Amino acid sequence: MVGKGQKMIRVTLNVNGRDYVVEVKPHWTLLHVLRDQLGLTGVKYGCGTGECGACTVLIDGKPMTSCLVLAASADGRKIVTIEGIADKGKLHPIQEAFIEAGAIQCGYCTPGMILTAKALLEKNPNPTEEEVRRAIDGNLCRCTGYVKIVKAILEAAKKMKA
Amino acid sequence: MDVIKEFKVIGKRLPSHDAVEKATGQTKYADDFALPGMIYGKILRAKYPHARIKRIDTSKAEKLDGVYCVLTHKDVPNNAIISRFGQTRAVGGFEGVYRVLAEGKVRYYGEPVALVAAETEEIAEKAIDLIEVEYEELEGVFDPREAMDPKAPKIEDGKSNVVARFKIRKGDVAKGFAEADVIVENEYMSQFIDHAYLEPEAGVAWVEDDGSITIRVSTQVIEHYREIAHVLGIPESRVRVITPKIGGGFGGKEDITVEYYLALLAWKTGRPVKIVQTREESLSFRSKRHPYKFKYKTGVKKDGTIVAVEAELISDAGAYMTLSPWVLLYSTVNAIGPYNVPNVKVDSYTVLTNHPPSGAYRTFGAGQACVAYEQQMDEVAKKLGMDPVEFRKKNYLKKGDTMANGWKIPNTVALHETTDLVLKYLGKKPKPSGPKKLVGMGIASGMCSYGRMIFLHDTSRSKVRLELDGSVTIECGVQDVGAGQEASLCQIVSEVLGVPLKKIRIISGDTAATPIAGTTTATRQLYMSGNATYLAAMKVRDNILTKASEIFGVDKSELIIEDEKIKTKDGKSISLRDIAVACAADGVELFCEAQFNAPFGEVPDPETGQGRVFPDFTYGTTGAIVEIDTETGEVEVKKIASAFDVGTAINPMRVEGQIEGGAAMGIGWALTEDVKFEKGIAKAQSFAEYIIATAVDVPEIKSIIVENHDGLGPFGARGVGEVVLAPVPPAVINAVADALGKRIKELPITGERILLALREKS
Amino acid sequence: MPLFRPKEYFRVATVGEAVSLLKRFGGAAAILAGGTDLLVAKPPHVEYIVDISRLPLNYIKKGARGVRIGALATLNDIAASPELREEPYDVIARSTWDMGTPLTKNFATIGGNICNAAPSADMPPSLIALDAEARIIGPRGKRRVFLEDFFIGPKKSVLKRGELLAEIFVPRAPANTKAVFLKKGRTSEDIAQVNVAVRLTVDDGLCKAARIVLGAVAPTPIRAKAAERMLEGKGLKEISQIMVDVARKAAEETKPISDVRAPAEYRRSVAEVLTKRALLNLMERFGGA
Repeated sequence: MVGKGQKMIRVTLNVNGRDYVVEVKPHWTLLHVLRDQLGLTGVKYGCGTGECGACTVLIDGKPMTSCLVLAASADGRKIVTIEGIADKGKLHPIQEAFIEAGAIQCGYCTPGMILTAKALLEKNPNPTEEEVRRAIDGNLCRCTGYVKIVKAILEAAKKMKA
Repeated sequence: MDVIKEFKVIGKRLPSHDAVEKATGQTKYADDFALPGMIYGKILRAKYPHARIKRIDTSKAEKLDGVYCVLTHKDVPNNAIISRFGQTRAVGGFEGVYRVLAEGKVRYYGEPVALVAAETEEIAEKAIDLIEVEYEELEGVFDPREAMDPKAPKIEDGKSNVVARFKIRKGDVAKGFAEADVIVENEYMSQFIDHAYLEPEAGVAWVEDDGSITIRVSTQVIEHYREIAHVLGIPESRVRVITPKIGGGFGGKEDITVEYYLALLAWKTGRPVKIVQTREESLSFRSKRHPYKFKYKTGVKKDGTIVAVEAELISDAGAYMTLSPWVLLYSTVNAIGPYNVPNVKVDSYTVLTNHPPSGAYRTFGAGQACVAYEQQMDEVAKKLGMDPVEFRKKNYLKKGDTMANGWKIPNTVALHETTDLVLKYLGKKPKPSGPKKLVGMGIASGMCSYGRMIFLHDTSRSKVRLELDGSVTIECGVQDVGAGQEASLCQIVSEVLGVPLKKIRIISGDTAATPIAGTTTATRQLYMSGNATYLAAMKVRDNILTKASEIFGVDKSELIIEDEKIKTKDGKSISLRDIAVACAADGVELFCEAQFNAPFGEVPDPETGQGRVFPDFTYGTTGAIVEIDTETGEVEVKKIASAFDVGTAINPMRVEGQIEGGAAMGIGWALTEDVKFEKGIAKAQSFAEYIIATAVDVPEIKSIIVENHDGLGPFGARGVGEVVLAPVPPAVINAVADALGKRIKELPITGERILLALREKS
Repeated sequence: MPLFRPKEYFRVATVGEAVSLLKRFGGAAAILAGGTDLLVAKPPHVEYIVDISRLPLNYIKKGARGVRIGALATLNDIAASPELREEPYDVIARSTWDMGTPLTKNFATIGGNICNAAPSADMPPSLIALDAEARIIGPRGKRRVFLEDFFIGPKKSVLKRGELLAEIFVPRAPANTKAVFLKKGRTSEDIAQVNVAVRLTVDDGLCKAARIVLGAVAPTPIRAKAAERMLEGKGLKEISQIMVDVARKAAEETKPISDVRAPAEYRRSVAEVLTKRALLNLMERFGGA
């Protein structure tokens, strides 16, 4: 049997404000646990090597690729996924801006892109276009050419200040 | 189509109906779905590009705890099948054999050899590792020109590697070249490109209560259910394919991805089975854009009139023929581009090699041709001492001209307009930002058909139902790859029936639940299913207007539909809800289906290539400005502008999205993307090696929409999804050549190729 | 192909605990800091993961003797650190700019970038140019190694069984020291095709010390010592005149390979260009050009 002799680790993950106690194997990634144990499928597998950003989540407020984070290592961390950013059913201004600007095509990069944008705007509420582009440099999109994504993030920044 | 004169919804920048679900992470893509008792499939892949299989031993894998089954070709009821793509007429010469699992020998590195289903993905991985395969390596062939040699190793034993060849003969090229003042000959190439959609190939299959099979899979072609049935040896009626929202396709999910494997494993185990391919599998083993080798010879008069073009095109089909002949036919028909040329001779070949099968990829061979003919246009202009824009303008096709295949163009070719708009936006070529820098500006024009080749006799169907509360349900078997395939249908119905988008629901992509609407390929959904949906909505409209005319006692033509009401000119009105109830009470049909047929034709004459191949084309122009660092060879794209005549933009925001996305993809094609096969093995196996453009790499992109309203789609629309890519790579390439004063004829244009070119020049 | 299936995971609270586990398991153990290299490589021989991410080694401190950077400082911490704004330490922050993605830099650590010992790593050239040393803790206590001597081949360092890189120490630079880091990749977030750090210390108008450190052009980051010697003792004006020759000499000292990212010849050409540009940049900043 595979994994025979693999010792499970009990971890507590605080995800979207709620504590989950899960048993994980030593090599399981946070991506795997969020998707397959907790059912948070808004987190996407795109490459598994930290290059595409589809699996982006916020860990203690910072965007990280969850495919390169060991679940065991995330014990006790505060994690936010795309499922956790709308406020009681009201969309986050970045989500609204993405929808209105036509920044979403196939939508597979969208959750990661929005979370990265959220972390950016929390740190820098008034970014330049160049700063926005640099911030999303690790979130690949194959559909949009990024034009409307960048526009949406700048629009959201304006909205959030107002 | 002139029933509706003023648009309230068409042409508006409305957010797509599914954007909220996508923005909140609720959309359930293929991998986001699970069933109780689900097990996991994995694929054992060939370790050699060309080898005899001497022995396969699956016994150790079968004994592993948690393994449900291990399958090899012996377990596949019909392992060797003819691959077809959608509900097409059987056309000889275009279809080749495809093997579900390697049998006797492997033909490319990574070819599936065996399948495993196990309780967890990890057990399946372990089981794959326990399968023993003994190979005897064979000599491989990796260059299509070499593979054409009769002495080259054969991919299909005893058969020629050349699996298709086409010709175009128009006028008399010998006479044409004799009249020419200047003749220019060149060779070009285009490389292996990956689709790099963010969602890898994935799906879940299960056995239904009645013993039939359902496969929920990320695919552009749900109609593969027919082939899946053939592989399993069961009636087509017992296989159902559903596609959820697709995380990008670009042609890479046009041929079969994981469907056969899912179906076989679910069939054999009786359990729901999931397969998700890794990015490495996707990059290394899945279909790629065909690489091409081109030879061009162009004859022109001193005044810039093209008198003759002769071209040879050779494409690398990879180890199975799949779509290669069709892709080649696209390249062949597009070989001279949107130019009026009296004498044309084109010879094209697609050749099997020991590479993974090449397949469909946005523009389907028209893009590769554009890479070649647009470089050639610049080279000819240079030799003539003529401005490349002026040279193009002198030769652009126009309404009434005849293409190389003899088709007389019945509608607008707005290339003068698109080129002028692009040039106006680009402005003057800027000065270099410093010493050791060169700036270049390039333009390219391109064309791509929309709708499938007319000898396939393509059709689409759609249903529109007015509900009793005045809301609307659309049922149409489109596959939504993210370009708005569903959203456009919603917008069309909203316009025709005066129902707001939020009250329209669309059910799509299910062979058992929705009318078959054909493939999401060939830029055909807006054209085909848009028309079918328009027709279905018009039937509903006609029925309710007829009823309303009875109620109000006025002629139908006196009635208008808006704001969920039918109104008379003198201010009376009835709500859609009330009219629906009234119709239902009288048995008037509120659920209407319509079929739209594309023009039907025959395969062009094989000796001359004469005959219409496509319903219509979309044309446009891209311009690029680049700056080159002459010491490191780095190319920075500073600006891109693209203009296309899209007929009518159903939603300009989405059209811009296509143009912008095409621009980013085209930059990668020209400059960074290369799967780089060495002896049949992909060197780029992750996004660390396969470089696609990020937000930082993409420059300012200006998308320009031209609307002449004479396309074949609903409301005069033309297809836009593919053509937007075609002229981008050659525009960038031409800008680089302009900067360097020398042309690099191989792709991608890497730093090392730039330095080499500069060295050769000095 | 065997799979990455470690048997056990340990999260350590002290350096001592880490050292004792690493000693016990030897080659079967892997250190997890950020994880951005380990989870890409997924080495199948690893049976034990020693997670050091919670050790108190995430700091960047400037003192009278120099700058101490804890091995767990992330690349984004380094990029943003106020302690690394002043010359010549700014070159350390600059080295993080074009590396990895903004997402991975939130947890990729400087210690990982060094210990992974990739010839193309972006952090080592600048640190070597500033004569940084690796502070290592092991079963026999602490030891120090100049970072220049830390690498012995691709993916190989001097770390012995049970040893852990705890800190990078960058000694206080002599007055009038400036350094620059340049990198060429295929795009903004690519792994380096070539990178280079050049540092000069100038006193009385003469170059007192020079370092030219190149990455991705040999099995380890290398110092172009012959090229450095051409600079030492020279006046700024003279350096401006011999810059092109120095750069050429530095390129001659490289031993690049060809791979999917670039052919060897290209790497050598770019090594020369980047070295020249680095020198030019320094000359401008020293006001000697």
